[in-house]
Amino acid sequence: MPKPPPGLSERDFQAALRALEGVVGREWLFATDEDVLLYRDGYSPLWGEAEERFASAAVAPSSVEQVQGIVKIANQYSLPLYPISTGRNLTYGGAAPAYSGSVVVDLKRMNRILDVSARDKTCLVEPGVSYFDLYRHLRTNKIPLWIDTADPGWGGLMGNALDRGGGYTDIEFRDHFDAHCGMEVVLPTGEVVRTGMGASPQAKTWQLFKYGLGPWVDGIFSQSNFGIVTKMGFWLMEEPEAALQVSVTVPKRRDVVPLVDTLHSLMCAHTVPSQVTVASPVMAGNNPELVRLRGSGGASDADWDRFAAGAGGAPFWAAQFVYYGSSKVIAAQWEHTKDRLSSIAGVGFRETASYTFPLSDEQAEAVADKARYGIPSLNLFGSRTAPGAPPLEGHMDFSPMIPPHGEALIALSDYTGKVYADQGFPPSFVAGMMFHPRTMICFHAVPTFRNAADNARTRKLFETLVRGCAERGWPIYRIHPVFHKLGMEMFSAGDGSLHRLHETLKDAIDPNGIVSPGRYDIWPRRLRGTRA
Amino acid sequence: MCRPLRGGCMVDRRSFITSTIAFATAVAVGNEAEGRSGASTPADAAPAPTEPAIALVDLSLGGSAAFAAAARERGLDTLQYRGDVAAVWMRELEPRLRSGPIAIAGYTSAATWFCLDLLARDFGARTVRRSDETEAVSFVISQSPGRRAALAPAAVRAQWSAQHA
Repeated sequence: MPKPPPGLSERDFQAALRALEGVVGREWLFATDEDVLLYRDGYSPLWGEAEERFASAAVAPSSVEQVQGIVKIANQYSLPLYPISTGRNLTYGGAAPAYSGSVVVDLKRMNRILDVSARDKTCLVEPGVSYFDLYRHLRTNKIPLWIDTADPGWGGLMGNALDRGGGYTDIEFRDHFDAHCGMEVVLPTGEVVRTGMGASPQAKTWQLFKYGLGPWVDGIFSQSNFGIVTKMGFWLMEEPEAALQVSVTVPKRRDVVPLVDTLHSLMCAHTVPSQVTVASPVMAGNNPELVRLRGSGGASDADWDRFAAGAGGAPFWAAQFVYYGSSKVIAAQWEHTKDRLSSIAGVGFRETASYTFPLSDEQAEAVADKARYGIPSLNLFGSRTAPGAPPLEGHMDFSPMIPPHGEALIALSDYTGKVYADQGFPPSFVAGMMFHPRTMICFHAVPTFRNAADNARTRKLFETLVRGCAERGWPIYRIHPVFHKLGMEMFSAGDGSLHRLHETLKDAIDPNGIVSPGRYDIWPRRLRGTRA
Repeated sequence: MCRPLRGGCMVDRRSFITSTIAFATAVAVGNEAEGRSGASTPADAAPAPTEPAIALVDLSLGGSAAFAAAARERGLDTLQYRGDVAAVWMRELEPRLRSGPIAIAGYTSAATWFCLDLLARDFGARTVRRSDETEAVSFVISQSPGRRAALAPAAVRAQWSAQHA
């Protein structure tokens, strides 16, 4: 049987579990070893070690009232809770709690799509609604709206948005937290709060105007532990008439500077609407010379350009993006884009796919880059492993954020290339991804394993990357729960004033410290200083 | 016959195809003798449930045609796709798991099995058999009585309380 949370006696733990059963019903309380293992982090960098994070039990409520009942019991017993929506972001900890011994509050039973308005282009959902669910609902009911999906698309809208994840379509929708409008939260005291216009009982604009009146509090419920969010509204993209996917290539290493500057200018002008990925075909792979250059941490542009010339003349950088809208407007946008980029010697332009909408089911299945068209997919898993290779190993996302400047992309890839090499890892892929309007994220995959020795090396690599990038002005925007303390240490301005503000809020909102202790290093007073 | 789940073994293709389909069919018809393939796992020790079985085949993989043919020969409803299982999951597998119980006999990439194994858990289903081959894995995912209740209720519905309309 799973052990009780630290500080709670077995007797009180069992009493708490019986009380939780009384709220949700016996079949929705999961307290056997077999059940609890379902919430294990399959990609844990602490796999099999004493410090690996485990739930002590899980409970699956079906209503806001049941969530309130759970919270009441948690307060009574000082029982730590860890709410999850679908718990499927494996690169950021999955369903495993930040504080070992927590009771997972599995919100998947709360999976109603409460409202979709084709006219207003909005929806209101519960935490268990996945991208699959909403996509299927829109398709089945022929509602001409798109979701903006994470990739892979098996996760939940709310979970991804609350951890500030992103997608690939128009800027208004692909910053998933920014695309939300209004939420309902069960506070740790059990009180229910609706934010924005939802706080006005008769308002017809809960999913239309974000701010309501007075302080806008929604942000404190993202990447935090100040409550259990039970409803969120989102703005949805109107299905366009057409789309055109394109690729722009440049031949030399330093060309990325004017490439990114121009694309960013076009994005700010809403000429290029989609997420833009700038990747290097030249810096991909395991060619020994490539590995040497990446590991050197400072090879010159000339060295790199010579390598590229010898590698079959592949372009050094390739940018991928999509236009959405009427065919006439798309054509004009693409022509203008080419005009703006034509000053880069050797620039190449290619149209890689075009579509008119709506797509039939067969056409949608045949789309290669589904996330850019609001189609959830599981293809990303297959692209990561060789045919037949069991995906038993995993990875964490290391996600430093840089200005939208090509020279920063070069500098960061030089730095991380050397770190990977110094610590005996093959180099990670290099890509700058513009999910947000004014930054670029350079995702790196940091492998995780099922043995302690390799995971010790992985943790050292990850810590080096987090610290080193922060020192250079590139802190992360999101991080695995095992590293929440480390991540937040990089946000130490004012002698840690932000952290103290978080603790002040925590003490006021969650006096008994029951919701997700330790998440983003926010600890309740009773556990402050605890190692998770 | 391959051992289920606790370690794959290499057998000839015909044997593992037919054994996987046979296992899934046995699970479907509740034939305990055929369903227990000789290995001892908790899944095999439990009484085999009575569930309809479907086959899931990734046609982009070598050997898939033979698996699909064997499944159809056994009378299994056979779902086919190429590469990305997401559409089949949304359109066929998830609704059937939601209304349950069913068993899924699959011939897919290891990555797809990994995804389905996780996704199916929300419907009280588990992998009860898995065999590795060069290009694919074959497996049976089963919803059995007595396992954990399915988290997803009978229907995902769009509704809005009249007072908020």
